[in-house]
Amino acid sequence: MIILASILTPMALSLVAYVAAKRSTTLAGFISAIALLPILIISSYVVLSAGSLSEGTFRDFEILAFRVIPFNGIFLLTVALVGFFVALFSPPYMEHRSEELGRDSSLFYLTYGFFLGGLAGSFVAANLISVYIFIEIALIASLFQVLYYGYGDRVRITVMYLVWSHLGAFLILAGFLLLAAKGVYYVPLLVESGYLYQDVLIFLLILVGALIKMATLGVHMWLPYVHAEAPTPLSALLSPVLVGVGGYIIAAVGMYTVPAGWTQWLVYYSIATAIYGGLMAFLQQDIKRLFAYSTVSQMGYMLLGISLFNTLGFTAAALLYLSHGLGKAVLFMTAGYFITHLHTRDVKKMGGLYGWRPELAGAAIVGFLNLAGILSVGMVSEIVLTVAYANHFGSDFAWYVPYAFMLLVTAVYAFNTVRIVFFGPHKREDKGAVDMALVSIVATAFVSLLFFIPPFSTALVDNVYRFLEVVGPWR
Amino acid sequence: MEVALAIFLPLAASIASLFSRSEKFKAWSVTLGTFLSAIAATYLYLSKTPGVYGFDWIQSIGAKVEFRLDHFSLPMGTLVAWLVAAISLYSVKYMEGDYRPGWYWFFFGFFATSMMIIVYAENLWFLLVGWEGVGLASWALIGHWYRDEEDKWVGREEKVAGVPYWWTPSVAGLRAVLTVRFGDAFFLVAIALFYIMLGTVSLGEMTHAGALKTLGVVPLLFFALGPFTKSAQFPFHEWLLTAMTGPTSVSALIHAATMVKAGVYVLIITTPIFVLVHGSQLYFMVVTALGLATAITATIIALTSMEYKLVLAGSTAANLGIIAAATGAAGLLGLHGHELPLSLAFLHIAGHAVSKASLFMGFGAVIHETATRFIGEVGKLWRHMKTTGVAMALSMLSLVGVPPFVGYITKELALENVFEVGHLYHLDLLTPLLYLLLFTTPIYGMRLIGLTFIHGGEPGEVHEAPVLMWIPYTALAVATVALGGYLAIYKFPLTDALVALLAGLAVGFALYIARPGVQSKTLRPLWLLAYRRFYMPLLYDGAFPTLYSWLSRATRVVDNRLFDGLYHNAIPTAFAVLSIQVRKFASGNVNVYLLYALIGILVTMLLLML
Repeated sequence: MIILASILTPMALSLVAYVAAKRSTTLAGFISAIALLPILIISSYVVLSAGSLSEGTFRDFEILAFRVIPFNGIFLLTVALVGFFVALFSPPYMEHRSEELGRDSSLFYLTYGFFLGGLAGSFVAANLISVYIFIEIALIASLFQVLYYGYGDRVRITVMYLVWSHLGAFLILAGFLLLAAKGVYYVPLLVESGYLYQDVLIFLLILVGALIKMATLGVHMWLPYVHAEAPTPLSALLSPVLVGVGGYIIAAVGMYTVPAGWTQWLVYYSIATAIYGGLMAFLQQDIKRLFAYSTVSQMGYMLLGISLFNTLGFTAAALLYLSHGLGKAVLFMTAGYFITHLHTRDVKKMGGLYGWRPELAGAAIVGFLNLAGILSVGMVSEIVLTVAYANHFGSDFAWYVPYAFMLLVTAVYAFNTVRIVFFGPHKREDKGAVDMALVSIVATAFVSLLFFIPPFSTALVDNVYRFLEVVGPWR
Repeated sequence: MEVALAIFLPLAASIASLFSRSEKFKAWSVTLGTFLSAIAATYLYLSKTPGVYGFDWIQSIGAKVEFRLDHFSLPMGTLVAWLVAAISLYSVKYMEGDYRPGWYWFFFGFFATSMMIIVYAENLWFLLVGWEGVGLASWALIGHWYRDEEDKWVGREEKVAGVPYWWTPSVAGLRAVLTVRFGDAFFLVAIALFYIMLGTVSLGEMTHAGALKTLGVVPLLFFALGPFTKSAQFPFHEWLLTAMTGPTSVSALIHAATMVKAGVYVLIITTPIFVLVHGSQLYFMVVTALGLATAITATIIALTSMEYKLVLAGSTAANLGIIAAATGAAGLLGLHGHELPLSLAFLHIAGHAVSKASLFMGFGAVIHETATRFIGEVGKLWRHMKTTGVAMALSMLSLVGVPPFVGYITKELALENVFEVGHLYHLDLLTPLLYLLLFTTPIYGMRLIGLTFIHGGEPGEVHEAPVLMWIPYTALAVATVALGGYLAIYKFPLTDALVALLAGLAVGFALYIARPGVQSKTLRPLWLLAYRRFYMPLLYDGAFPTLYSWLSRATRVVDNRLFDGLYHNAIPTAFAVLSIQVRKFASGNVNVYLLYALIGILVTMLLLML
């Protein structure tokens, strides 16, 4: 019952946070953060000690069956870590937003626990239908957050989010139901079923549904709108954490029915997505849209890891989820800090902000380093992904050129944004506030650096790799 | 343990510096860290038995935290650590009162540790950590003066063919990091390929890997892009020239001890491995050719530049070119059965580093005192800065390779490799080319010394540099003589090349010390070509950014018109039109509804009958 209880804890405590938010937003933030500690403990234990936890008998169609192994443990760890820090970050921002809207933040904290509990559940649920249910919980909770606390034309954006996310979710559900009709009730990766069988329809349904969720090239259009207009703490969770669910589903379910020869096309598509997102991010003037397009690019990286269809590729995908999760959370929280204290999202109005708050600049640089794969857990992800890529293409040297270009495109928008936002002549004489939001941003950045050094990076990669060698679909 | 101290003490000091607001604490803690690191490196050099020490990092990709103590890493580590310590001591005074001490001192120690990782790393993944570290640190320190004040720029505010020909610190930092990142992407790919093809990326194990012979030359060329960009080899040398926007102490660090030396050092230590690969001749030829192209291009740039630091930067690129060419040549000689003469290339790293660190620090003091970065605006400094003048003259003579200074011996030895390859491959043009290089080099040296200390504009209120600043560079200037004498005991090369060199020295002396002010209108177009750095900035600041921008804009058009238009305009519009059409059926007329019902019943019956 430990896994289920850990997932239900944030949902249950969100009711307490709801009541608390009516009196103190800070208290609500703390409650929301503490509610994630059980998930954090479980996932850290599994990932760092190469452990495995199971609940349920896994016989017939058991809806409450759960399993955590290092592979999905990394996803769970990311949800817990990012959720924890964003909860601590949120009070100053939500107070500011509440003032703007003339509405208290209680609904935000009521839905926060359901959103994260749902997300966590979707990663650890073994039954396919319960995976879908948990995704729905997360989606509906986040819908309310956009509707009540979003920016711009909130209703239109909410409808857009509703339509797109449910289109994706329904396609995935259809794929799951077809699998269930053939007697497959559980996430194949979690029950070590091995490669199932080649099935074009099931694979396509799950793939397209999941790609919509990941917002990859061609089905990405909803993401820049939703992630830019969502309340920023939610953006910090949507962008890295929710969209990655699609990647997890492709890896843990979809690839077990992938038809022969299709992975190669997915590899090309992934690189195209990564480059496309990076090029689009380069031109954005709205910092939240910039980060949103960067998410599209990063999802290209993650999908690439999965498409390479080897142990290291899957390992890289899980690590990318973590590195992007931490890095992008830092960046979106930075955008939130700007909104709270500078009242702008316009990159043109920024510049020289290093002097305004050096700690913030330092943390944001670390956030970008995670995306660019330099000296952070992002570098570990990038190295593992590159080895997986080399394993796939071998001496087919021409294919390393687009890969290198992809890395360069990421570096271009990352370092260029740092220059535009933080460097250049000062435009302000005041100083950025030192508050919980800033502390959370710096702490998240610090964790992403911590995971780079041994023994953390050792455990993260090797434990996932060893488990995947046993449970991967390519056996 | 000692090696870990030598490597990580500067970083530990840097981290400690973050916890204090006191500028003095930051400066002295990092300086202490670098000195302790230097002592540890010296101890290693004197007492440690060569070998490989370390532990596993990430088994699934063959990553290990391994330290290699050998005849390259031990002297290199000692050299780097002492240079860093000297520059750190100099920086205490030089950076006093700076507006960003926290940033400077953090990245200073971080830079040192990253370089020391490269020096001692046995495993290429571990080396990559240091490699990325020096790239990041150089970006941070080149752009240290992030407010982009005009006195920190490189170049004057002017445009050439519509392209800005001045560089602010933040732009120079971006230029550097993106150039380096381009090379690093391929460097990373190459290491991954080594792992997949050889099963290991530890240098010692790679030598014995069975598949090494059949590795092929392409992975080697991918690999070389890393050192080429890091060491600013042609055509990637541009970033190094504009990197002069950083504090002069940073330039000393980058040019003498860290960043650029990392590239050529890695070329050297991998040569014994790559020489075993079938087809590696092409790789070594490319390294030699690019090295030579860099040496000549950069020497000409140094000859015509109007900024103190740019002259020194050009000379760095030139010397790196010589080291790279000597390394490539060593590989080529190795392929032809000679014993690998790598130590000849390696020695010049040291020979150049000592004089270059001294020069940068000395000219840093000059810029500090005269408040200008342009040559000749303020001159005749000999009267006011005698110690600095002597130190700079000594270091410059060493840099340009005048006997008996260390620079002469190491450069001559390095070029021996290249001359030898010229004979081996019957490259008749190579010898005159090298003579031309040796002839030109002393001219820029004499020019810089002459126009700074002897001639030029009248100085205003100028004083000798503070003791804490001149001690490090004067000590290094003395070291150029001492080391030269020490090396001369073992080997003192005397070749025809010396004639070209002395001729250049004489011309330089005549033009810039004895009879300054000689100008030629005929040569002006050639001067302009070199002064504009062969118009390479048009590529890096014009063509590349424009192309990238166009590509991004084209992508945006697709994004707006196709995807956004389709999903958020075309589809909703189609639905709206369809909805309007369908609504027409709901006319409110009961007779029409009855008709629909009848048609429905008939169609259903028809379907049932079928």
